[in-house]
Amino acid sequence: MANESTGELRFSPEEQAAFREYWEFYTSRRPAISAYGKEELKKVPELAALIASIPPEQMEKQEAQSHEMQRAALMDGRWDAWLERQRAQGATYAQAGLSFGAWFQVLRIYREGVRRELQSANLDAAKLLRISHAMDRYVDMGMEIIGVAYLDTKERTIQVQQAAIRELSTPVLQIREKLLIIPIVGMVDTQRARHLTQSLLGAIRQRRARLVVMDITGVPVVDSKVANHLVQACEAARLMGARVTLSGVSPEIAQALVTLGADLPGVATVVDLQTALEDGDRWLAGGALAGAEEPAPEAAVRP
Amino acid sequence: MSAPVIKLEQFLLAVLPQSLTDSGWRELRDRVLRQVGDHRARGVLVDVTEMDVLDSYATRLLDGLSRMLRLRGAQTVVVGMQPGVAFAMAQLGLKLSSSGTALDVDDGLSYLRRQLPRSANGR
Repeated sequence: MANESTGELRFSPEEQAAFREYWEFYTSRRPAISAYGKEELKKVPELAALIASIPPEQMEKQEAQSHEMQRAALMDGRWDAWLERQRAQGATYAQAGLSFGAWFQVLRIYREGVRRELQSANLDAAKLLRISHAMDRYVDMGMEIIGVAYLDTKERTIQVQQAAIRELSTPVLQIREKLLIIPIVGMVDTQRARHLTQSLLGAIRQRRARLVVMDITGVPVVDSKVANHLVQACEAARLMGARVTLSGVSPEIAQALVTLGADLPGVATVVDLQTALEDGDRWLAGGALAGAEEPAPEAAVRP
Repeated sequence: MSAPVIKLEQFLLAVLPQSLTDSGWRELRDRVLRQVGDHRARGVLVDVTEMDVLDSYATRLLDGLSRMLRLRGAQTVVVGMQPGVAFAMAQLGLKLSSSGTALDVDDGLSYLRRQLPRSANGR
């Protein structure tokens, strides 16, 4: 079977003979199988749309290429090109957004097409089994390779997106002396929260900030984990002598957090960024600059 | 059956009816949470004058609402509780620990004004 280290396929002479037998049968019945397949594929909306999007000439060319590659693999045991093609297909369709399930529809139709012909072929039982078995093996092998390539591609897409999200990572903006804003946009996971807390603390030291406003208007989901991260960031900031105000908790998030029992104990909250800045200005003007320990801008911090 | 929510200075006033169905309560909660953002309200007065009973369930709902409002940057004060209701709640050991309390809307307003950040009063 597939040799993972070299990516090559090797088969014993008997196995290859079975494949040859299968291919001979398949080519002898190809028009019927192909006609059946075309009809059936049209019944699967996702596949029908895909097929309709390919110009007929191109389709014909692809089919001829594919046919030659299959012949080389099954008849002559030259699997390299076939293998490469399966991988490329898996990757292409993953990028095109074809669902994984659609592949199994294709296989079902292919198998069914061949099996119908086998039934009407009047072969002896041993040969029938050999051909059927070789087909299953061939199709499953193709699917394995396509599947791995498909999932690899999806996996890579996710990694690229994660990296992009990290890149977009949160800026720390200074808008007044001693006042920083951190607008958080997008999902916050453990990794990002750690990164965020680090840059927050670094910025507090570097810019000598007394007040930090974390705005979470752009955070779609805040679960108990994220809430925990936010609380920790606030506590860490407090240890460095800065106050943190959280703004932009939406009605939905407020409800969710209270239902979860994770309603950010000890974190001062205001409704939006504007309010946070107004309060912050007042607080800073009222002696925070002198270093005096002032009460919270809003009695939002409660036991 | 829905409770009116009235904007009052920089606060909201929600007047609860004598009794509130579950859906009526949900609707009120959603409305108050949304309007706090619309008006940038710093506090919410919840008037329970009309209510004859505040059982453990209703208390929990009220407490939950004040915690949600806290996350939206608004302080909650429950006003107008009838003596009988207060007595029953005390006997049952029910507390409204997340919100302030005041005798009536007037007292509730001054309570909220005192809670505001300094010099925000004139906004």
